[in-house]
Amino acid sequence: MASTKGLPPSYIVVDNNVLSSLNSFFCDCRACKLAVGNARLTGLTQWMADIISLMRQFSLDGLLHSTDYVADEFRPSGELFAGLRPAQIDNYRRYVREQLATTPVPIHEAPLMRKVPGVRPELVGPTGVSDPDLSLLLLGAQLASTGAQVILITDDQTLLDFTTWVQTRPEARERWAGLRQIQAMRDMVFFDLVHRSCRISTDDMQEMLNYVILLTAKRMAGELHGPEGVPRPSLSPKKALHIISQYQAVQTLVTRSAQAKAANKGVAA
Amino acid sequence: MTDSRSDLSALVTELRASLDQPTDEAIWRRMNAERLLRLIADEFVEAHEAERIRIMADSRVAGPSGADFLLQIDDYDIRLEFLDAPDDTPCLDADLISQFVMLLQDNPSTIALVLVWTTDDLRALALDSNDLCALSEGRRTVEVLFERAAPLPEVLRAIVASQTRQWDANLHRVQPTTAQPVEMRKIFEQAIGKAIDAERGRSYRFVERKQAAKQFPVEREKRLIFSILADALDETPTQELVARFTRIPRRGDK
Repeated sequence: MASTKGLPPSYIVVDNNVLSSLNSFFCDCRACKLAVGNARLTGLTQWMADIISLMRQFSLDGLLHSTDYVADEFRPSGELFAGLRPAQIDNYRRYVREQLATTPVPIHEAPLMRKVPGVRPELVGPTGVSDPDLSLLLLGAQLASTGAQVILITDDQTLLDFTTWVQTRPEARERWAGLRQIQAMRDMVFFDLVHRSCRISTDDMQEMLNYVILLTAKRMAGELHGPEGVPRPSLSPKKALHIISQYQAVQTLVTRSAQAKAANKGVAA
Repeated sequence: MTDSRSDLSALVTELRASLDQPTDEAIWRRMNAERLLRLIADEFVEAHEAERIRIMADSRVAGPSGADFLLQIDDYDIRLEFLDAPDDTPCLDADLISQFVMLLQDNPSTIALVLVWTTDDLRALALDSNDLCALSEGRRTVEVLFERAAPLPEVLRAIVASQTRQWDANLHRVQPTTAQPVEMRKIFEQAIGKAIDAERGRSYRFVERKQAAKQFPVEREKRLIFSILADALDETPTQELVARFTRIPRRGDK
């Protein structure tokens, strides 16, 4: 099992949005370099297999854990799938799902988790954590009951916030003893830690981070998720400035991360 | 990488934590502490809407005098500095004190430096320049100051309360009244009417004055006064109302 600073030996629990993100990244950034049709689907399948295999290397038991509730949510989307037969898409979907080790969890405890005293309403309200989200926390607590650490990888800010908050609450820790050993981590932080262990190239890491920034800019400009027929707002100067400043900050951090990677390589040599 | 709710600035903060912190545990403590801080800050900003609080992350506060977070409140600010608490209890490296003294010296609008430890309840301690001087001169010990440490929300509330003027209006002690509401305008009109009648009823020695009192355009002047009163209640500027009051009538007006 591989390890690096920030990624100690741990079970890894993966949210569906991580797989969707990787899927979208390939479709938007890499697929155009391949011939249209089956070649693209083959390329995507290979890319997903490689990255999942890479993630598994950092897992204590060589598995990526999830729950059926979350795994069932994986619905690949993108222009790449437009010309494919439904059976092909279904095969691909099934393939990705099979890469996850799913375990039953006591989902009936999810509402209890939402009722932990002192929770901020927006974390558990209609736009807050869903039952599938909480199933990942219950799974993490279950895996951690062996005394091992658990890394929960997600790109959902609400789940990140809720996980961090709930594990500070004595009432929750009393009921779900393993909660304390879960560390929620956003996918890009996980991949950057992997990058520092020399298993992802700096160019690939840079490309993935740039993609995140691009998607954020699009979202802030209203280009994503706009109702059909409704004019989309343009990016205001303030928002644009925010994006630029964050982009600069990310570039600086990638440079530092590459230096850390070089230092790690030196140590390994 | 998808269109999720995650925020770029939170990503930057967490990437930075993963680079700056020396151990796995320290990285995780720092990431979690920053998430908790954001939750607390959101709640605090909502609860103090009137103060128009802005919170800025470390990337916006550049230079050696910067802190991890800056809270701008009205015309002053508070700086937050995160400190790692491996044993879940506050501790302070003495070497940092001179750096903190400089931070407050270089930023006159900063009224307090709040040290925040990466504990579950984000234990915090607010220090002003007097505390830091006393510490650096050895007049006070860190242990004594630590007695004041409290969860971050309490510390922030105390600072903001100390900077906010409290008016002792005793509103909670006002007894419910049984009096009927009265209309101020009506009372005023009656008082003006009485005053004019009293003036007209005066006895004058000179014929001219008697005649002037008799010819005084009572109704017109009443209307003028009442209209000015109405405008005053509608917050018309005083200067404008004075000009109307002191205007000399045109020759021949009655």
